[in-house]
Amino acid sequence: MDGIFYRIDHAARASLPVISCFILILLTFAPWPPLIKSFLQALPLVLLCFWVMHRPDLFKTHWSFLLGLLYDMLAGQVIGLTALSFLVADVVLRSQRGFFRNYSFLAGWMAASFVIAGVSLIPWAMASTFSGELRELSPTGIRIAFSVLLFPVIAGTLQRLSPLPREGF
Amino acid sequence: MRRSAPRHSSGTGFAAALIFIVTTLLLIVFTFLFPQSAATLRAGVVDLFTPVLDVFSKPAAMLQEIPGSVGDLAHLREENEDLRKEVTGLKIWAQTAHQMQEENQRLKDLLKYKDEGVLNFLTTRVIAENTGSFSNSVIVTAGARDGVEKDMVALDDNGVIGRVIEVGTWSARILLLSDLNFRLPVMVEEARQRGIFTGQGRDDPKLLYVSQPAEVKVGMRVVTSGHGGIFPAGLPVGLVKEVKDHDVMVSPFGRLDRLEFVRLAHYHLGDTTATSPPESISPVAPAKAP
Repeated sequence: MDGIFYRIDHAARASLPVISCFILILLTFAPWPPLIKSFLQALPLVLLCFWVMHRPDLFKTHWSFLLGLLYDMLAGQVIGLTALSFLVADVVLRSQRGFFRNYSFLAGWMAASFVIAGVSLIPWAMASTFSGELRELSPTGIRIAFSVLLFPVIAGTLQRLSPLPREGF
Repeated sequence: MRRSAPRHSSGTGFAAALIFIVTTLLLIVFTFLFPQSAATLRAGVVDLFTPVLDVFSKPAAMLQEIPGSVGDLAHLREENEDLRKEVTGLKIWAQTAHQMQEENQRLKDLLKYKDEGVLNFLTTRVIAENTGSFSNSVIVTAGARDGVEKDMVALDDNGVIGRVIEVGTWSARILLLSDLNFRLPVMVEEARQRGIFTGQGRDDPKLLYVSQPAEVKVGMRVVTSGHGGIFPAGLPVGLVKEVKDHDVMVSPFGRLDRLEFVRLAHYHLGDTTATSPPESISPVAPAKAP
């Protein structure tokens, strides 16, 4: 019996990265008050970056693709727009796993911040291209700021929640 | 000096990522080449997640009400007094409106005027919203099974808030007035100036192609003009907020940031037999009591 419970517990913990991102994406679309909404909209990318850096073995690239597609479908926007952002973040962070393992948390936070800022500009760039004029950048800037500030909070919380053997930084 | 290991964990992993990126780019192209198929695909996926979104929307809706409830309690007496005054004023207006309606009907009968009747009218609840700089839409719990059709007009208590753009079996998506892709033929009522209402994301919507913007003044009402064949004429849209050079900014009547229940109406323009009363379809969710 202990074996079964152990396996269930292990499976639950192993699926935490994907399940947490999935639930957060669904929560993002709930009709929250504007301030909470602003925070929540910044979170999926932060969470994805954290899991790719921290547990790339549990959060495979295909999950970045599928969760990005889900986001696009629910948002009613161009299919693939968020998926592209998630995939770029995934590929860049995954390719730097060695860096995160060897360097401090601060260095990891800085690297994640650059990636978050970069991929957050993809939807803005595409919207500007499609509309033929430069779209306002400040909402994207605010979202990047939220994401960067929330990263250490999310990372600190999730590292406690995920006691499976650690990889990454 | 320590060195990072910029290599991907395996060649196959990198190849898989490349395949996903190429697939994503193809999907983006697909959305632009086949917008209708993309909309059907989105509606199908939203249908699948409607029960979950419905559950997740409940705590969010409760949270939306908390600040209002606390404020209401604090200003209950004051609000009650204001409401009494408003009711007295509205009774006078109701009598006037009743007289005008009768007179209007008599004149229409005399002129054999073809009416634009409301065929389908239902109230439904918002379960998901996507409000941002680039896209603004909400998902509601009524779909094709409830009689929702594409291009239905979406209204809240105050006026037009958007139109239905995607319909699934259990859900539908409403494109909000603030979306960058939203276009609506309107008229500035007092100035009799036509224009195209365009969403601007987080900024105030604009009126484009107004022939004589100088005649438009701040505070004038903007209503649908009836051109385009989707919306009937005279639906309230907003008030002129600012007129600067050739730009006319509009403040929408609809409270796009706090949508909980919306009404969907299908106006069959030009249909002379369509005169059935509102609520001909039973509401999916009861509207909140005033």
